[in-house]
Amino acid sequence: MARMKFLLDAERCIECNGCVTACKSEHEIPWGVNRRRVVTLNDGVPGEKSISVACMHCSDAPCVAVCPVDCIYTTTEGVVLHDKDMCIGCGYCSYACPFGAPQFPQQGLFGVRGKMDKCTFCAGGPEVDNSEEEYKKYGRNRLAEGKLPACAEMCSTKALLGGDGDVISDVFRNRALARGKGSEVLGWATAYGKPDAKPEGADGKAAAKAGSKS
Amino acid sequence: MMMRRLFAVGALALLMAGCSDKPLVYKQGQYQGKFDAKPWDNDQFKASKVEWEKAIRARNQGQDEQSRAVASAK
Repeated sequence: MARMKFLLDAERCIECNGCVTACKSEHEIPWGVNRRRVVTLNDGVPGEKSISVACMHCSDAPCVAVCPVDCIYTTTEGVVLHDKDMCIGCGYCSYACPFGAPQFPQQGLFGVRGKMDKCTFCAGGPEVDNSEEEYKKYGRNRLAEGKLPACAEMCSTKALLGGDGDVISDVFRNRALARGKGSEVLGWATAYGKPDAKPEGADGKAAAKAGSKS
Repeated sequence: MMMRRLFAVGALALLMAGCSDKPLVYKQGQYQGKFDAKPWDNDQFKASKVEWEKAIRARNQGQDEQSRAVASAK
């Protein structure tokens, strides 16, 4: 088994926020905490793109590197988890994370003393699997039930894929080929838009600058 | 001169040692001191990694509507 990963196909995302709702509902996440959110680029401009963002479970996670109490760890399945009993809520992980994944709630079961909360890839945390304590602190452990993250499994257009990195990249590759395009459609530019293909109405200067760099 | 060279080599080796990855260690149910069970260590999978991987693989494939559509069209 490879490492667990999320992969978003921006060509398919319709900004329905189903993934956000699925996450909130699955883990009973309180107001003010967004483990997952949908970001729209060039909102309102024809050709806008939406991407669903959460913890990307980095292989060499910067949050793990900066945590002063060493409460964040990576499991053998490649899921980045943390121990809320050790977390001191300093926020270093928040500064280090390029995706804004760590959240610092002020109230509710998740936010006791402002401890960090983030996407767990529906893998719970360092408590007995599927116990009440685990659910209260980290949410449901779907991985231990043989299931994948609720956000990906609930995605209506299957824009958000989650699971074994090798398998979901194959799924994405086959999909891209079926669209009738070649290898240029694979990779970062496909998922997040090409810098030289900015829609009309967007900042022309910025597009030209980005285009000249690539 | 020789001593200076030796010192430089030693200092370089010491500096480079900091560039290595932190090894992922899982032993006695803990990740570097943090207790966590493997996802297959429960009543459902009865410590069978193979069964767990089978379940995850099925879920992975469930996300591939492309192949499902092709299979149903045949």
